[in-house]
Amino acid sequence: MSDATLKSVKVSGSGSVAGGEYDLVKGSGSIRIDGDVTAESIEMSGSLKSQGMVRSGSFRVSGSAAVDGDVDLSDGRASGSLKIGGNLRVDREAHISGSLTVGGTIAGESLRGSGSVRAGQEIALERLTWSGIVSCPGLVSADAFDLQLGGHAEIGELAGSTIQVRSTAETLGWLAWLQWSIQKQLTVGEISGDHILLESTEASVVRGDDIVIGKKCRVERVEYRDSLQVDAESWVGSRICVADGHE
Amino acid sequence: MEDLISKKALLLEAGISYGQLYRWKRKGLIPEAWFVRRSTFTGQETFFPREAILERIRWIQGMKTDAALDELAEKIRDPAQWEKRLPADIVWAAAEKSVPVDLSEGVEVSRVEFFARWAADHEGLGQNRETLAAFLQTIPADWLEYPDSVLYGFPVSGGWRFMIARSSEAVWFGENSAPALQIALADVWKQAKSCWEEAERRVQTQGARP
Repeated sequence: MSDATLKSVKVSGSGSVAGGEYDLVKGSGSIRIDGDVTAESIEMSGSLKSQGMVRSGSFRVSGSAAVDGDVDLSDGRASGSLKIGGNLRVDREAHISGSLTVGGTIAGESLRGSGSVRAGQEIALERLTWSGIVSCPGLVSADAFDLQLGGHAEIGELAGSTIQVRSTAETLGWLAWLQWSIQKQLTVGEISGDHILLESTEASVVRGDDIVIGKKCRVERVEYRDSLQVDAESWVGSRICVADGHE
Repeated sequence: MEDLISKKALLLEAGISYGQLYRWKRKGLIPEAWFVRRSTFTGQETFFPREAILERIRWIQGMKTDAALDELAEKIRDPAQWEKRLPADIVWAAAEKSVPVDLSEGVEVSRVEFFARWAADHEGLGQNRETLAAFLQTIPADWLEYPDSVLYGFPVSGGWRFMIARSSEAVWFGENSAPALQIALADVWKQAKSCWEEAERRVQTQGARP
């Protein structure tokens, strides 16, 4: 990709870029990409529309971007709204502020940011650190899952090694009061992980080694191996210790 | 009916964590289809085909390095890459060996074919090199990644018999029947892979030339 023969394209105002291989694609204004594009780096601000797939080492967009196909990136940064019709693959890290909507799956290494992230099918990442809302009807699996709730999040199934869901406001003063007034909750079917800490979570089953059920949770069944703590403000239907050799 | 094992029973039996299980799933080492969702009296539960998952976890645990796991994941994800063929003369040149006579002009080989031919190249085998090469091409890919897989060969009437064991420590051949041929396959496989990568680089630079 670092081939010196690759050309760069810069567009400002309103214009379109033909599909193909590029070194740098840079644009501001209202840009359309016709066909699949592969680039070392893509930098866009304003409005971007692509009907094909986008593959880029570095991918930076601000404003609104909509890609109908798959997006495959190494490092990504998006602010505003990013809509992907296909799948999103992140080889290193993507940082999003605003909203990220993916029709298929989000897979890869690390995704962090704030706002809302929605995936139509699954999320499979090594690290997911998010503040706001995560919604996904299928499995969300991450080695480290850290969600600071900012509204009502809904997940089909959640699995990984370290899982943290927190609703406690980190800010103080009137902003804390404002945050308090928003209903923050995670609704999820099953959670399985090694170390789990939950707040404001409603789940049917939580399975893990060390489990802390913090405040405002409602869990029908908890199966733990090493330790379980339940906050007085929370309700747990049945607590089962699953140790080696017996249940 | 298929013998299934529940997720929590699997963790206890295999001695693994949820984190590991899902890490391997994300890598593509455990197929999506093996996660079977069933309703039970306690709600939805995930089950696995018992034999298949326990066997798979055993060999994942047998892999010494992440690189070996990544390679296997790549094979599962992208068989085309695994089936990729390169010109035999370039591959053998990368291995600093002379090309076998039947592979000279414009013949292409796959990585596994190259490995099998190389591993089978032993003086004492004579015509049976081809038999061994054909045998080696039938090994399941994960067997190649075991760090201690060993090939044994025994001359029998009218030919040779070959077998592969996954540990050199625990094979008893009987009195006076030590194998005539013994090859540490994992070592040959490792060398073959690095020669293959070198050959890929050579093909690429050749292709880039006008």
